[in-house]
Amino acid sequence: MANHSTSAAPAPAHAAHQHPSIWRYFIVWGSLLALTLTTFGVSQIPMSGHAHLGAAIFIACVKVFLVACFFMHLWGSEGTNKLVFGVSFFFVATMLFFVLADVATRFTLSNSYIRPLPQVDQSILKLQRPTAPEAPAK
Amino acid sequence: MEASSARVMTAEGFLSPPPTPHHYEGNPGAHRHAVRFGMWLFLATEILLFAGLFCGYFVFRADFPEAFDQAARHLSLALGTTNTFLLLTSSLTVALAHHNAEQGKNRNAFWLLMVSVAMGGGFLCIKAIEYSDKFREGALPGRFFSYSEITAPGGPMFYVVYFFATGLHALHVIVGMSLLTWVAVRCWRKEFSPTHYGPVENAGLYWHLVDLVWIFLYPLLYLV
Repeated sequence: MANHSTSAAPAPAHAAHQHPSIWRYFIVWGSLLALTLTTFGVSQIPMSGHAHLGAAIFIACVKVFLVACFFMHLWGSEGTNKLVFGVSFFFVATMLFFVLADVATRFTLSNSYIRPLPQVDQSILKLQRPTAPEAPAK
Repeated sequence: MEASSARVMTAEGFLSPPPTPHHYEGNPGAHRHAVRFGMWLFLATEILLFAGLFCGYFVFRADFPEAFDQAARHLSLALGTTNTFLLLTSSLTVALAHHNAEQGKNRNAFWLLMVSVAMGGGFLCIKAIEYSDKFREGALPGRFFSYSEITAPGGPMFYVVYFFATGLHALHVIVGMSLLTWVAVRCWRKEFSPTHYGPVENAGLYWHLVDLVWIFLYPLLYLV
């Protein structure tokens, strides 16, 4: 053990890292449980499917913010770690946005599953299929 | 291996830490930063792995909204919510274990990690109950689907997403439990001190990521 660290000199990196109060973890945990109950409560309110989805994703994002910042110590962490987490989240959001923009704006018949069209005669779907030329009747 | 076997108890009562890579000698702060940064980079790849499954969820949900609505109503909300509470609470105990390990309180950290592993086990048991219900009902992916309660087309696609997303997540729970057990054993050996706690922190970060994924899976599969 040649390089004994001297106890008189404080390690600068560790001195800069402050121990958060233990109660902070309990407050975050309580908030997460409360948000779980909130997302459950909101799902029981009669709303449109899109409103339910939006509310659920919003509450989930708040919960992720709390876990990442306080349980994962991203709050007060080095900027590089924040950058990595922020950029990965941004790329996920970008991917989901463009994929959803695609499926939301598709022409109905181009979907992988063709739903019945109430206002259109269903026989047109059959007419679009190429059919073999009929043999002349004898 | 020789290096670890030569580790001894320090005067402060901690097992001496493993040797620092020589390019970080004299700069322990930079070493801790590099260890933490590497873990965050790994977590970013994990986030993108799960993002693919979430993407599949949204596409199939857009194609089969009625089937997804019916299938979500047939999942057990009580079991899903219990699992959410279990994972959130285990994240709390892991954060507290990290807090204790950072202050050299290895025994406290050990018990907190063991409680977290037990809650992870509870999560898997509940998941197993849910899976066995699905198998019994025939609520299964693809051609194995024979569940008469879901009449709208696309039911098998919901269960493709359900089993792949929760299955991959459960695999991560198993890996996370193994990592927590591994660092708990090292806590028992009084390995961690205010200057050496990286393994507890990184195993904790992995466990929190498992929690983050479930925070999204729970409302998407069970609630909306």
